[in-house]
Amino acid sequence: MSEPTRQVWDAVALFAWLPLIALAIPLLVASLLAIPRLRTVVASVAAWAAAPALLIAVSAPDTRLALPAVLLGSHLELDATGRPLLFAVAVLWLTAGVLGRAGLHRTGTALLSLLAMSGTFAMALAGDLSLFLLASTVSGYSLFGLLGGRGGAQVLVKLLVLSDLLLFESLLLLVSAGDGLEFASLPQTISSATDNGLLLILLLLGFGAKAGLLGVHYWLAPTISSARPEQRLAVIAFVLTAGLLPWLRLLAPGAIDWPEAALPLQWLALAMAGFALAIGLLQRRLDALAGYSVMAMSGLWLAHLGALMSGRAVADPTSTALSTAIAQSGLALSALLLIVTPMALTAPSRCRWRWLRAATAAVGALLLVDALLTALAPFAADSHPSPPAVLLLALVCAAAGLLLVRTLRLTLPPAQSPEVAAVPAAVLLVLVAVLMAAGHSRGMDVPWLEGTAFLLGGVVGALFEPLARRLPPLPLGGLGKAIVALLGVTAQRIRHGVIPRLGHWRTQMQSHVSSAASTGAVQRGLAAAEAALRIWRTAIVLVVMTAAIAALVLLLA
Amino acid sequence: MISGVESALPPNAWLPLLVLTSSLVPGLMIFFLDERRYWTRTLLNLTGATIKLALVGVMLWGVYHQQQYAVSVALLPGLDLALRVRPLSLLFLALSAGLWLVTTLYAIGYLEDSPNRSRFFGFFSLCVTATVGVAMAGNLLTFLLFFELLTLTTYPLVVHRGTEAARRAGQIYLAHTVIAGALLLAGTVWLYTLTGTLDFTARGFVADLVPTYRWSLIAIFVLLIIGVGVKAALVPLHSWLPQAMVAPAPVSALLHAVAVVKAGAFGIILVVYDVFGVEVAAELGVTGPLATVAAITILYGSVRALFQDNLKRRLAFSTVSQVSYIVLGVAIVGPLATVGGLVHLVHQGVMKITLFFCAGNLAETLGVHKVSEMNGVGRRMPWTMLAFTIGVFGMIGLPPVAGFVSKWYLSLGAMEAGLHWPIYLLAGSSLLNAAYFLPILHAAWFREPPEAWPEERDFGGKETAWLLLLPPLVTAALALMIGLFAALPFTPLEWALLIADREFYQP
Repeated sequence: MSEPTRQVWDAVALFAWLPLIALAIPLLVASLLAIPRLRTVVASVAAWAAAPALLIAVSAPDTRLALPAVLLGSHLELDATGRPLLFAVAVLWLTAGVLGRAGLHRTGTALLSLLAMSGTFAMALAGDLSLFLLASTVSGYSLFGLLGGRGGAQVLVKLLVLSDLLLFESLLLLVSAGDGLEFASLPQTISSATDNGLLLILLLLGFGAKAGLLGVHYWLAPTISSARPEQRLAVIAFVLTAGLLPWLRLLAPGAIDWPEAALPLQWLALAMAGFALAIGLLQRRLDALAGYSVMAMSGLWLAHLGALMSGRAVADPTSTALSTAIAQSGLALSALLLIVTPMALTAPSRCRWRWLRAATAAVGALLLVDALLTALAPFAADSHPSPPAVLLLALVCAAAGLLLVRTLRLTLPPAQSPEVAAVPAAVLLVLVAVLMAAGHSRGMDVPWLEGTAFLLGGVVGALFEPLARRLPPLPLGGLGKAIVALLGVTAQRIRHGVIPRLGHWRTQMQSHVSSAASTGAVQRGLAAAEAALRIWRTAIVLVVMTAAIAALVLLLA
Repeated sequence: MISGVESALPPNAWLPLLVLTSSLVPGLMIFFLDERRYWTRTLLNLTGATIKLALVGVMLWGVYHQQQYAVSVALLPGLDLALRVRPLSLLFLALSAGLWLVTTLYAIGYLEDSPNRSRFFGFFSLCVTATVGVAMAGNLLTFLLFFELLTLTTYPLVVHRGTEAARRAGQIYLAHTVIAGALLLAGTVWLYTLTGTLDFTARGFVADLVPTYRWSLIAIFVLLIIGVGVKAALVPLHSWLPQAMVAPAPVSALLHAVAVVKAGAFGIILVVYDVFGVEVAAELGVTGPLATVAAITILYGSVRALFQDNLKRRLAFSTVSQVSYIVLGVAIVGPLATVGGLVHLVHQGVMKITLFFCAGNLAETLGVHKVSEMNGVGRRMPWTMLAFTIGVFGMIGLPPVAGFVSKWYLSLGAMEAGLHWPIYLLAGSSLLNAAYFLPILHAAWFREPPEAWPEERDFGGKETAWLLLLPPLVTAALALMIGLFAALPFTPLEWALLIADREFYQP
């Protein structure tokens, strides 16, 4: 081999390790926390640990690195689908590092941040589902720790356990149905699997829990609303890579033609977006808008994927374009959410910061609208839309416009300006604008219905927003919490009304039984059993035992 | 008379004997040491453990390259005390030798300034001798002898503290294991009268008897399984295990992770694969009931663990549940399920010993024995709780910790065998594991610590003694590595695949 060829070969060979370097550097920095003397250094370095990943996302060529010794045989891949999202999450983590650099002096915070960071990079670079599941686990539980294990984070960890079980089952089905777990072959495996309906449901729910899918969304709004700015960015990074990216890889544009599944998927997704927007509008707290807007974004992208599954055309049907648009929407939304934090709205104001914030908000809104219109583009290509679909789409877009205008109103004077949050937000949006200019072509049909509905929603919002504030506010957590509150009232009425009467009858019956029984042991046993039944763990035991007995009966039958 | 491979005894024949004596000799010597001879005792312990590990490493390499290590001693006409090292033996041997070294270090730190250390370490070494004897047993008689020796050598460890609770626990343990030993002996004798041999054979040695002695074989199977199932803590034979938690933490770690329960599970593997053969066992219809017992044990253990406030008792019931994963893998007839069951023998050992080490650290350093006392303990003992967290994640089956790999192969094995209920069972068990382990982590890391710990000891500003801290960190790192790099050569997974290929399913 000649010397120039050898040099080229060595250079190419080095490129293959870049994906590993991207996720290994945060881990390496984290490992230095074991040495007490280096902890101060680590705190400074940790804020910039995402920089190598950003550089790799921008400059490295597409590459694949086999890791046969890892788990059950895995590989990392920097490809056109993962690259935009790697870029986006690297930007988010860098911004989070700058915003939260004071917190990185705490060992626990630094460790968890670096683990979560590495996990999100690994998800963007994972070439197969098993490595993806590993990365998602590391990132998810680290995020839980970072959020302090309170409020929405407690719901998150329960959903992580459940969703990872669902994903585990789906991995088993995929292995039994096809040729392994590589993302490249999974769409084909899903299409041709015997249990493809069950598989799709498991995958939707498994990843959907992380994306805020309707029904498993309960963690998202409370978590984002109570999170500090840097934590919000970490959550959005997690949603993008653990929720949206796997949907994109598994339902890759053009890879699956499945009209029977596409229609219910679209309806579910649009309902999810509509629900999120409606509930978001009814929130009294400003930061509560944040969680529901993230959920709405996820819903609209899922609707897009569903539309592509039904065979609808778009101008640029590649995964790259879609991934770029998702990344753009994630970054734009993140910038807006940084601006509307309570801290941002109560900090002392200076004129130039106020206008910077307003400009940032405007650009962010525009970029977000642009990305969302891309999400809705497949529906514009439908030449015979059904009236309910039209109505739902129109409502969703109107609500999105209303929500966005309401958000923007908050950023205008006389609200206070966030000196801390505005600068990173502005930088974030400049980067998004560069991303758009560099790689995002717009040769698509303009969705006139959706765009009109959006503008109308914005106008309505501008005019009637003071009225919207008078609508009854919902507690954070949405309808679920309202239903629980209603159940609580009902339970209280039962407790104070019905139970005493039942208790009286129970006592009468017990006295009959005890007079018939020869010893008081029966009565004591009954009382003890009753006390035990009130403990929730006993209820779990009974449920599990009942399920086991039922399963046994079914098996024998 | 010792008979080796040929007329001149080759070195290979001595290796199994050396493995036995590497713990037997130090153990016997330690009995006669004065309590004050700390360094002599430590040197004997560590030297024996290191030599054993080195010898096992040599045999690992040799067996991988198809070498044979065997020796037999005539006991009775037609019956030998036979030691034979096969891939299956090495799986258990490597686990025992490796974790014995770590546990020895831990025990040295744990029992510092405690009374009766010579007695403790003497029986400790004899216990490991019995364990490796079980691992290397070449026939059912040898297995039985070392299995009963294990009972006799672990009893003094259970009652070591000498308290009333310890004595009662020892009585329960002895009652269970002696009765089980009698049933094991009865089954062994009955089998010998039918077959005329007791040598472990790949794919069993009773196939020819099935047409004639079907019901006798089933009865023998039941006797043998009960005999070994007590130590494996199968429901309803498990009740000794939670009681034995009164023993010191190194004993609990040894009992639960290295010696006793693993010996019981190993015995079940030998009975199913090397006595009956898995196909014959399936033909006799005994694998279904065995799987059912395993399933009940898995659920029962996890449900009981949910209600325990005492940390070691919670871990004990978790062990009851987790060991039955091995039995489930054996009972689901199929290569992948076999791999899952075999690999879990090692994975569960490594993960569980981590948890017991951590429990011991909490008890020794802070006087914390209950889950309800663990609020904020992660801030006081971060490294211990980091190791505990890794162990817990493995128990739940989260990647990249080793438990994920076991669960994966067990589930794949179930699918391969056309069964779906084990998958639901494993999912349910994972949920229950999460239900009784995650609240511990939440309390430890996120709740405010109390103003004072129950019985805090001062370690000069450090978290705890380094001899107590190092072992759980090592085993936690090991649990992480053997899961993350499961596909590397000589990992437990690769070794289990080799065993399944060479010993159980080759045509």
